Order: sequence, then structure tokens, then C-alpha cells
Amino acid sequence: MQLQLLINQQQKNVDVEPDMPLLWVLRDHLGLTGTKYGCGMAQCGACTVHLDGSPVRSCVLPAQAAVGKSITTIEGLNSSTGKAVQKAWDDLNVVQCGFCQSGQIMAAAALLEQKPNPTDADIDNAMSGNICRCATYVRIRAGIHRAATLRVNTTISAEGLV
Amino acid sequence: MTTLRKLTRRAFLASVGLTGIAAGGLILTGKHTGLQNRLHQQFHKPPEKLYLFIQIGTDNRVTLVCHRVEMGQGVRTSLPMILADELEADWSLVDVVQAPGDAAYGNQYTAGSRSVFMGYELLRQLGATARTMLEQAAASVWSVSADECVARGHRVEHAASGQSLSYGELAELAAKLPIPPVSQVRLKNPAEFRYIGKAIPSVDSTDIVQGQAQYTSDITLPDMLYAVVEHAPVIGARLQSLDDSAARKVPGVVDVLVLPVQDFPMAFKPLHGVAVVATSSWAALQGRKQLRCTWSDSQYSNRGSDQLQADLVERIKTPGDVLRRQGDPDAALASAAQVIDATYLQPYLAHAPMEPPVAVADVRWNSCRLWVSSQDPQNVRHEIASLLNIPLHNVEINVPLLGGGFGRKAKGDFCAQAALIAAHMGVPVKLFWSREDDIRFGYYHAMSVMHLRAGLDADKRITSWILRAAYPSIQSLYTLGANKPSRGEIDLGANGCLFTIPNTQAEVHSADEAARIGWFRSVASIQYGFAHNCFADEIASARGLDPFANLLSLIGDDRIIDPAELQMDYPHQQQHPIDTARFKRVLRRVVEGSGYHAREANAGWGLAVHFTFPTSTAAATKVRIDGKRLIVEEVHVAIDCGQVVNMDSVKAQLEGSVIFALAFALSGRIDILQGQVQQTNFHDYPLLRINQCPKIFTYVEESHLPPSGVGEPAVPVIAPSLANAIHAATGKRFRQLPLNAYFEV
Ligand code: FES
Ligand code: FES
Repeated sequence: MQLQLLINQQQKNVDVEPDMPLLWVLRDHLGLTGTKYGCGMAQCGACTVHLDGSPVRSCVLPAQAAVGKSITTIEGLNSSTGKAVQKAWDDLNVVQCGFCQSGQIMAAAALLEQKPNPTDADIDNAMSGNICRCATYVRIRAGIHRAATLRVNTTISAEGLV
Repeated sequence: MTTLRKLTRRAFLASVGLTGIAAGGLILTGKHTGLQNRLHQQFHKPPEKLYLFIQIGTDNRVTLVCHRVEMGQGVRTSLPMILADELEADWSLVDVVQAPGDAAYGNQYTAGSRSVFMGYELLRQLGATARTMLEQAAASVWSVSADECVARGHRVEHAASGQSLSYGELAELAAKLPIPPVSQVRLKNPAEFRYIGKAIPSVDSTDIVQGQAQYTSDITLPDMLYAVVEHAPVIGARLQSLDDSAARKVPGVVDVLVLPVQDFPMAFKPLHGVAVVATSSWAALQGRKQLRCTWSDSQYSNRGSDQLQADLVERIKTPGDVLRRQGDPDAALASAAQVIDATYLQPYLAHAPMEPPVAVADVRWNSCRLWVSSQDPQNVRHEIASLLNIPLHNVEINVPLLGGGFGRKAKGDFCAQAALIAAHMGVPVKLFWSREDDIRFGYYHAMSVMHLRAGLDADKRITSWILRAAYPSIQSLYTLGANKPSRGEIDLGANGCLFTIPNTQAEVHSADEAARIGWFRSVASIQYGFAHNCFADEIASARGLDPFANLLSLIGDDRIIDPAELQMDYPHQQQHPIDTARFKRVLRRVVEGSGYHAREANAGWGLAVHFTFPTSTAAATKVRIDGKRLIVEEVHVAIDCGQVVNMDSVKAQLEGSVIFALAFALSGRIDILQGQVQQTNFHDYPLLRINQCPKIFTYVEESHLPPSGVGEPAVPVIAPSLANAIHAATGKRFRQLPLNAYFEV
């Protein structure tokens, strides 16, 4: 089935089975492998992308359901919030194996858009769907707080955060 | 149904990178002939390996090779830090390249917390050798003695004349020099370290946070197909019938093939099953759902975890095989004023790395290339060469980043599956395991039953300590019927108890495995650390002592313990003597750093200390009990791992160890019924989530003693400190994990 998807601000045409979840369209058909598979049943958050700005689990979202909406993946996370989260992650060296981190960053960026200054409780609430087996949770919490500060105090240039 | 295997000759595919150093690695730029020959030679003396590890370009950039596998523990940063430090390289001019699986690099088997621990001296030697050659090259340019030339910060300087040359300018000349003997190479004093001991960010961080880092899951080759395998539900069972007609009708499904039957012992053999090959991961998964298979029984079909636990709880009441005996524990028990005993139970556990097992294989006539999420690339190389009957030097093993390992990916069963399927298909194949495959067909951490008994004299001194351990052995992977703990497992705890007690004994009982058993972060230290520390806490109660005072008295005076006294195989005594002072220091650190001595209603602190991989760690954990709810509020964890290389990654490993251990202590449990693992995914095999994550405080001893392990040693102290904290808060002992059987977690 032919689908037209708006991904990272570009129109993409794909020919896929209608029930194929967005995750596999991104990874196998479009080569956008930054979004990861961890469970396939909305349990781990590794596959988190934004659909019209809200975090969704792409492993259970049929690609068809994303037609007409704006999809953002880690590769296209260009918002000032997104850049602030990535910089905070770099600054605090959050990642270990990194496999969960695209999903963590997408979830964190969506949280900060909703709540620019989240409490630890807000963070626990918004991030508890994202598993990190390497257990970077302490730094994820700190990273979100730092990103909140960066977002307020800095401007974004074409190259990123300065 | 088609059977394996027809090999198809394929055009050579364009390189997708990651292997540059294997094809063209050399020290310093310049022409090296016969490189391939040298690459495959045996290398025993470290300096001869130099060109495999260090490359200096005329553009002044330095390429350092990470020969060990990166799975989140930080070796791609910490190992090059060691090289760069001795080389006096400027870190901002360093590029890190990952080595392929090749014996030329020495040991690449990334497990056992050994990368820094075992690699530190060698890498320092290599870095210092290259530095010496650069100094010699500069000396020849300036016609002065090499002693007057000093490498510093990516340049060689001659103080007397004020001249200096960059490494890039010296590279070609240095490449022509003979490699100096070890005796001519000076290692730095710790005071001269530039990077070692500092906190340096991961070299992969930026790629990862931008979604650009490549894992094996992300490797895509032209014409590549995707495969998943329907495994026999019980290990060792055989396919009896297959109806693949519906599967073949699923859009995108290309082929269905049967992977060969494997006999026990399973080792790392490619698991038997039915592979569905398709044009996308999703199509392969959909096709797999449509298979209709029936399977035979296997020797595991009548085994289960509840059954085994019940058997072992009975068996453990009787004497087992005595492995270690000091003094006369029987007489001491007979004359004891008080005897206490307790039995500790832990279930099977699954590794569940975030990236499930995955491998990409491209098999052509007489050669193949693989990308593997493997901790043991050399072993995979050997296994694939013999499986496909391809000469070893034609098997190329690339190791992108691993999305976690924890011991699971030390076993290359899935890599071999990928090779078999790709050999049949004649095009590249990405074989991936779903999360369900990962949870159901793992190499599990063994369930265990540990019994401890101690005698106290009239003055409440401990006069005897007897441990009986029963758990399926990792050895069962390799040897049919091996059902008693192996030496390596025993030395992680049974003989490694550092308490000073006059009469001790360690016994083992048999336990038949019901699944493939494998090593899991910290291995048998988990059950030994739990049993010894929980029992020590019970003894504190019996003695009427504070648990901290009790532990200090059990450890006794400062002394170096002779491993022979522990009847322990311990090859590290020279470099890493077993030192009770270091053991006590980490314990004091967590007590002093935390609020251990404070008392609060419905809250409590617990302690634990252990020595393994051969590092001392201690933990102090605080819990709060709120009705049925158990809240882990704080964990303080201290480590003495000798010289730290990357302070940031040591702390990260401690944080990770805390959560990894809390996950299994609170809710980790694999059940096996009639040979079948019952759990399937994160909804029934829960891992810890951020809302369950306590505050974590880490303490790292400053030391210039030789480095020891970091990734695993802190795991075994967490669960006992938690159980002991619950006792402090409630007065109740919980001797069986996981704790979600008793509490909401
Ligand atoms: S892969 Fe989608 S939530 Fe786990
Ligand atoms: S960093 Fe490895 S799973 Fe999160």
C-alpha cells in the first residue's frame, strides 16, 4: 500500500503493508535507524518518536495512522528544546550503551515542551515508560533539569546550541 | 521446507567501513609491505603489536584502536585514554577506531570486568613505545641525543635549542625506526598522567544523542533480507512437523528454512528452529506468527524451576561435597553455645540487554563478513569458520556498538544462526531476535539455594561458618551432566569469603539445569554476596551488635590473606593481594558518607561488602516502608578498584550496577515450567524504571595500585544491603528474591 508520510519535514512515499508499524517503516524502508526496537509492545520506549509534537511508541503505531501528521525522529530533532536535551546529555555524559537514548531524548524533549521546568516527579511521570537497561536514570533526571536551564539561557545557532 | 545450505557466489560488496585498521593499520604513516602477513602472525611481545593500536598521520591526527568491545561500559574511551596518555597525545587530535575480531589484537573477549584490569600495562607500554620512537625521530632530525628530546602534548621538544616538531611532522620518520625494546621505554609516573584518572566524556556520546551511532541492528547492506527464527519451545526439542504455507503467503516473506538440530551440550551452537526470511523485519515477524510447528520433547521437558527449588531446599539440608575446610567446623558447631542457620533463594534471571541479539551476515563463496552484537568476536570468527568451512582469514568480524551485553552477548549462538541463513540465501541477512526470543531463549543466570550455618560461643564470638551452595553450573553448557558448581563459579564467593573465622567449610550440592546457563553481570558473586551478607546481618542480630560493628569484627584485623588459606585459585595475588584493610575502607566509606547511623520510623539502613573481580565494594542502602510499599530511597556505593582510568565511567558503572541489581532484587524472576521459560517481555520480566530509581551516591577510592575490575564488582552488594535495610525497618528477614513477592515495588 502506498503511503505518504511527513517525516522530519520531508514528504516520503513508501510502499508497505498497511498494518506495518511506523517503527519498521522508519528503520527498514527509510533507513532512519536512530529509532530503536526494544520490545515491540509499548513497554520500553526505545522506539519513541513525535507525532505532531507528542511522544508516541512507533512500534505499535500503524504507519497508516501517521498519514497527514508530522513525524519527528531523533535524526530530525531540530527544535531548540531538542538541541538543549542533546547538549545536556553530552555535557553530563548520560549515555552508556546508548541504545535506549534516542527514545529517552525524544521523551525528554516532549516533556520539556509541555513543562519547561519539570520537577523530579514530573520527570518520573513522563519518563517511566522508557527503560534503560544500563540504568542511566540518575543522569537522565539531571540531564532534563540541565536541558531546562539551557533552554532558557541560550540561543540556538545553525550549528546547534551556543 | 528447504534445508540448508547452498552457497552462492556473490559480487563483492562495497565496504561499509569500520574495518579500516585491519586492512591498513600501521604505526605512523609510511609504507609497510606484507602487512596482511604480519596481521595474522602470532604476537607475543607487546611492542610488535604497536601498529595495530596506534597510527599517526602526517596531518597530525592520531588514530587509536579500541580492541575490546564497547557495550556501554566505556572501553572505547578508557582504553584509548591509556594509550593517549603514555603517548602524550592531545586528546582533541585523537580518533578512535574499533578493531575487528582478530587474534592479532590479543584478548578481545570482553567479559569479566577485564578490559582495563588486564589491559592497562600492555596499553601503557604501547603508548610509551610510540612516544619513545617519536622522541628518537626528533633526535635524529636535530642530531642530538634522544634523552634531550621530550614528547609533550603532541609535540617533541628540545629544551636546549628551543626547537619542537609536531607528531605529524615526525610520523614518517618515526615509522622507519625499529621498535625499541621494553627496557628502553619509560612509563610515566602517576603524577605525569594527563588523562588517566580524569573524567573524560564518551567518544560516542554525540553520535548517540543525534541518533547517528551505528549498532549491529542498524547495519544495512544492499539487497539485505531480514530473518527471525521460531525456536523450539524447549531447548533441545526437535521439529516434528512444519506447515509454512500460511507464512509463505505473508507479503514480504521470501523463504522459510529449518536451522539444523543441535545436540546437547548446547554451548554456543546456533539454536535449532524455523527461520522466516523476508524483505522487512515486520514481514519476518508476521510470517513467523503464521508458522504451524510441532516439536518433540527434550531432556529439559520434565524440568522446571519451582520443582528444582523445592528439591534443592531439601537437598541443602544434607551434607554436600566439601570444597574447602579450615579448622574443625563440626567440633566447633558441636560445642557452640548457639547455632543459627538460614537458607537464601534466588531465581533464574535473564540479561535482557536493550538491544536483543542481532547479527548481519554476508556469506559468499569461501568468504564471509559479519557484523555482530557480540562480546567475543574472535570466538565468533572461529565458530563461523568451522561452521561454514571457510578459512579463518576469510572470515571478517566487525563489531559495531553493542546495545548492552551483560554477558548474554558473550555467547555467539545467534551469530552462527545469521551465518547459516545468509549462506543459504546468498544475499546479506540481518538475523534479529525479538524481545520474546531474548527473554525465552537466553543463557540464564542460575537460580540458587544457599544455606549458611554458624556457631557462636558463650561470648558471642563466631566460631564456625558453613556454607552449602546448590545451583546449576555454567559448566552444563559444555559438559553433559555437569551439575555442580565449577571452580570459577566457586571462587567468586564460596572460598572468597573474607571474614576471619577459625573454622569454616564450603560445600556444594548437585543441581540439574532446565535451560542454558550463562554468565550474567557479576556471575555467581550474586548469590554468594547475597547469602554471606544477609547471614552476617542475621549474626549481628544474634550477637546484639550493630551490623557495621559486626561486619568489622567479622573481617578482623588488617591483613593480607593468602589465597592458599582460602583454598582458592587466585592468580592475581602479586598485583592484587587480598587485603582486608581495603575491604574495611570501602565499608567505612559508605557508612561515613551516608546517614547510616540515623534512626527513623518505618525506614532502615542495610550494609553489605564483597570482594570479586578482584575489587572491594560496599553498599549502604536506605529503604522506607509505606504500608505494602517498599521504597528504596538512597544507595551509597563505594569501590576500591586501584588506579582509576576514566573517573566518569567508573561512576557510571557504579550507578548502573546499583540499578541492575535493584532490578533483579525487586522484580527479576524467570520461571521455567516443563522446560519452557514462562516470561516473554518487559510486562512480565520487569526492569527497573526511572520512578523506582533511588538517589545514588558513589565513592571511588583514590589509588595508584594496579587497576582491577569495575563493571561487575558492585552488583553483588546491592541486594543484600537492601534486604538488610528492610530488616532494619521492619524487623523481618526476607531471604528469597525477588522482593515483589512481599511488597509493592
Ligand atoms: S520498542 Fe516500542 S516501546 Fe519498546
Ligand atoms: S544506555 Fe544502554 S539501555 Fe540506556
